[in-house]
Amino acid sequence: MHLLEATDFNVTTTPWLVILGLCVLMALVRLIAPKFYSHYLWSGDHKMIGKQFLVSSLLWAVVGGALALGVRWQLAWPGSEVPGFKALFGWPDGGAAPEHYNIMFTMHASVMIFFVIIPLLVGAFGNFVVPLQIGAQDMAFPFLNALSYWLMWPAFIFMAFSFYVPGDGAGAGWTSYPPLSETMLGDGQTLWCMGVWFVGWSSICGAVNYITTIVKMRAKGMTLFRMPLTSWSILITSILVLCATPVLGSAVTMLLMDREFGSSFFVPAARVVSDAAQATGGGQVILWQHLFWFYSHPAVYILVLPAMGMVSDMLANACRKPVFGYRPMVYSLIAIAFLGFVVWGHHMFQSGMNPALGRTFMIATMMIALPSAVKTFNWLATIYRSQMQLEVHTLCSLAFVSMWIIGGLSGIFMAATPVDIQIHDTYAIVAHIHYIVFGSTLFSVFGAIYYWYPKMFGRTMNKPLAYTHFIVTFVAFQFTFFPMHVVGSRGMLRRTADPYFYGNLQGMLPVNQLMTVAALILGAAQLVLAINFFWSMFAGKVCTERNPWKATTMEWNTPTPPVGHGNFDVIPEAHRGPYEYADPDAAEDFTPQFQAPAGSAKPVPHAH
Amino acid sequence: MAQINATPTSRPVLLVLALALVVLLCYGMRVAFEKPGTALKAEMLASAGAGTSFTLEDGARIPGTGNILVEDELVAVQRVTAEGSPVNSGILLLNNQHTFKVVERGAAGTKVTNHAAGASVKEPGTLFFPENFASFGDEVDELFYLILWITGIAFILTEGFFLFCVFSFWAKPGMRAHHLHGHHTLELVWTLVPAIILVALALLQAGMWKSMKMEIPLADSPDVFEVQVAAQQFQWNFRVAGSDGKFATPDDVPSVGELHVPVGKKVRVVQRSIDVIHCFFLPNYRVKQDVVPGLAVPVWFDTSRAGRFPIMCAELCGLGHTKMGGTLVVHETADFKTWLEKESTLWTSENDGQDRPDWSGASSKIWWWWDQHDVGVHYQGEKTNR
Repeated sequence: MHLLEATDFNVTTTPWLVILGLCVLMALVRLIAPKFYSHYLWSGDHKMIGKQFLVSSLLWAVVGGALALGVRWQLAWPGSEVPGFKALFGWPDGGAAPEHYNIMFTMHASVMIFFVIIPLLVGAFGNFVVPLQIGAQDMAFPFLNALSYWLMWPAFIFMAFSFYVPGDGAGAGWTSYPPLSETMLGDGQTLWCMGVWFVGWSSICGAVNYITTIVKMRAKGMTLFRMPLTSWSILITSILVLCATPVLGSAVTMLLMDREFGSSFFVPAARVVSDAAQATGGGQVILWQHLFWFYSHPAVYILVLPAMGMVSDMLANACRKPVFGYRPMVYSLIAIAFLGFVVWGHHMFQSGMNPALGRTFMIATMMIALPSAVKTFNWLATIYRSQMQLEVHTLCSLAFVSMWIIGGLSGIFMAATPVDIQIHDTYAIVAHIHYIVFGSTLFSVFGAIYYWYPKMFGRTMNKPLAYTHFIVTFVAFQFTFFPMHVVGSRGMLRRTADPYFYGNLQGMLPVNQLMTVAALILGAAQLVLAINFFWSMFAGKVCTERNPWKATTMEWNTPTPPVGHGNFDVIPEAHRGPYEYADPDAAEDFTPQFQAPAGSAKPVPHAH
Repeated sequence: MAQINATPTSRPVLLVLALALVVLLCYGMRVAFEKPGTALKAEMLASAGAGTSFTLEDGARIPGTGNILVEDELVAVQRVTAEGSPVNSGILLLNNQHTFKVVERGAAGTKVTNHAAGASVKEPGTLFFPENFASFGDEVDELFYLILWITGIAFILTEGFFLFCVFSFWAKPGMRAHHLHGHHTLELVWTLVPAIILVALALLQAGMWKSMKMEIPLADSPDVFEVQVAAQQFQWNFRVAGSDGKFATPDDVPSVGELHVPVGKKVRVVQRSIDVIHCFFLPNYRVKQDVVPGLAVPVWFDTSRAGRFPIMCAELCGLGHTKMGGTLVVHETADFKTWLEKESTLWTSENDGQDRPDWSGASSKIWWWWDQHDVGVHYQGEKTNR
C-alpha cells in the first residue's frame, strides 16, 4: 500500500528545517563569537572533537538506557505503562502497546550502537588518544575530522524525530529486515534510514583520517611495532570501517528507494499487503540480510576492537608489567579483522540461506574464536606475577577480561549451527551481545574515562564515587544479563512484547522481574558516573602532573591538559616499545617510550 | 587519596564478596524460577472440570492454547469463541474478554497426551533446553552439553586462573612485576590447543546440520507426511492433503493456528509467507526456520509421540508478532484418521469444493494465493525441485 503511493516523497520536513536552523545558528555564532565557534563548535583540534564525541555519546546513552529500561519494564510488568514514557515520547499507552515496545528495542539498539558505542570508542577515544599516542601534532585532516563529528548531528536529529513523526517510529528491529521495514507505515523508518546513512558518512570520514594519520604522521622512532595497542586497534578498526560501511550505506539507500521511490530491491514477488497482491516485486528479501550483516558483523568487531586496545594499555599500566605477547596481540587483531569479513553468515543460519553456506560460515566462525582466545590468554598472562595498583581503571580492565571470557565462550554455542537452531532469536543471543558490548566494551570505556580524564580536562574524577559506580554496575550487570542465558535457551524469544502469551514461557515472569529490578539498579548506577563526570569537569581535584599514572606511552609526555593546537611542547620521539614496565635494570618501574636512553649524548630538544 | 592495596587481610574479604555474588546470583535465579505461572489466574482453573468454559476478566493473562500447572495438576486450556469453537491464533488483545475451555486435565506426573507446553523448570526437560521429541534433537542436545562441558572447563580454568591472579598480585611496596614480554612456546600452545578443539567441534556438527537442514525427506516416501505452512501477519495457516494425498484438491484440510500431524512420521514442512519474514519455531522439536516471502523453504522433523506442543514465531514480524503462536497437535494414527475424515467432510460438504468457508479473515484466500503463485521449493540442499 505504502509502496504504491510512494512516488511522492512525503517525509516530514521538520527535521530538515531543524538541521537548516542548526546551520543558521552555527553561522550566527561564527559571526558573533568567532573564538567560541572555532574552539567549541567547528574545532579542527582532535582533542576538542574527541570531547565533543564523548559528551554527545554520553548524553545519547541516557536515551538508549531509558529505552532499555522501557523494554525491561514491559518484560517484568507487561501491559503496564512505563513511568514517564507517556510524557517523553507522547505515547498514550506509555509504551505498553506492542508497536511501541517494538520501537523501544529498535531504537535502544540503534542508539546504543550508532550513537554511543561506535562514537565513544572510535570518535571520542580514537580522536583524543591516537594522535597523542603516536606523537602527532593533530589528525591528518582536521577539516574532515570536524566534518565527521558534525555529520553525526543530522543523524541525531533524524533519529530523535523518528519518535515523533506522524505514524509510528522505526520498529523493525535495529536490523530492519525488509519486507517488514518496507511495510512499516509512518516516516519513522525512513528517518531511521537517513540517520544510519549520515552515521555511515561520519564513520567513513573518521576512518580515512585515522588510517592516514597513523600511517603517515607517527613521530620519529615510532615504528608500527612500537605503537601502543590502542592505536593499533584504531588502525585496524578504521580499515574495517572503511571497507564495510559503504556496503551498509548502499543497502540503506536501496531500502530508502524501496520505501520512497517504488523500487523493489528487497520486495519479493507475489507479496500480499492488506489483502491485495502487489504488482511490484521480484526483489530478493535475503539480499538485505547479506548486505546488512556484511557491515554489521565487522561492526560487532568495531564495537570491541578499540576496547581491547584500550584495555591492553590500561592493564599494562595497572599491572606495572609489559603486555604479554605484544606481537601476538597485534597479529590477533589483524586476524580478527580479516576473519570478521567472512563470518557474517552466522547471523543468517536460520534465514533460508542455502544451508551449505551455513556450514562454511560455521567453520569460519569457529576459527574467529581463536584470535579472541589468544588475546584472552595474553591478558591473563599479563596479570600473572604483576603488581596491580588499586585504581578504577584496574578494576574496569579486570572486569573487561572476565566478562569477555563469558561473552566469548557463549559465542561458541551460537557458532555451532545445530545448537544455534534452538537459541537463535532468543534471549541467549541478547545475553551474549550484552556480555560483549556492555560487559566488555562499556567497562573498558568506563576505565578509559577514568584513565584519560586527567589528560582531557586537567582534573581527576572523584574516586569513592567511581568505586561505587563500578561495584554497583558490576553486580547489577550480572543479575541483569546472566539469567538471560538460561531463559533464552529455554525458549524465551527476543523482540516479543509479551512473551507470557506462550504457555511454555509463563514460568519465566519472576526471573524477568528479577532481571528488571537489577536493570533499574544498573541504570541508576550510571547516574553516579554522569554526576561524577560533569561535576569533576568543574570541581574535580586539579591535576597538572604530566604522567599521573606513571605510564609509558607518548600521550603522557604532553602538558596536562595538552595546550592548544599542536599537542607537544617537546619534539616527540619514541625510543623503545610501548610497554617497558618493571625493567629490573631501570631506575624506576616504568621506562616511557619518550625517555631518551641513559647516556644518550643528545638532550631532548625543546620546541621553543 | 592514599593507595589502598589489598593486603593479606583484605583478600579473604574480597573472596567472600565474590562468592557472595555467585551465591546470590544462583539463589536469585532459583527463587525466581521456582514460582511457576504466577501470571495466571490459577484459582479460576482450580475447580473447572474438563469441558467447562469460563471467561476471564479484562487484563487477565493467558495463552491462546497451552497447559497450565495448577497445584501439580496439568490443565490443558484452549481459547474459544463465545459459541465454543476453538480459536488458536490471531492477535489476542490485552484488554479484551476471552472465553476459554478446559480441554483436559490430569496429574503432572502422568503421561497426559499434552504436557509438552509446560511452564517452568518443574516441567520435563533439561535445565537449559525444553524437553525434546525429535529424533535428531538428542544429537543437538548432546552437542549442546558437549559444548557446555568444553566451555565450562575453559571457563573454570580461565576464570579460576583470573581470580587467583586478582587475589594474589596486588602491588606490594618496593616490589616490581615479573619482567617478561612474552613466551613463544606458550603462545603456540594456546593457539594450537583451542584450534584443534574448535576444528573438531566444527567437523563434529557438520553432519548433524546436513541431516537437519539439507536432507529434507521427499514427499513421495510412505513414511513422510507433508504439510504446507502459509505464514501471514499474524497467524499460522496450515494445510494437509486429504485422503487423496494430493494438495490443491477440494479435500485438502486447512487449519489456522493448529497443525495436526500423525505420530511416527517424518513431517516435511514446506513454508511460505505472504507478507514479511516469519520464523517457524518448534522448541520441543529443535526446529527453527525463517519463512521468507518469495521463497518456499522446506524443513522437517519427526514425531515420536502424541501430544500438543507450542509453535512460536521467532522472527519479528510486526506489532502482532508477540501473539503469533500456534499449536502442533500430534495425533495417534487412528485419532488422526478420524480427525482428517471429520475435517475433510466438513470442508467438502459445506462447500461442494467450490467456495471455501471463512475460517478466519484472509486465510480463506490464502490457499488460493498459494496455488496461484507457485514458486518451486528452494535450496540446493533439496534433492529435487518438488
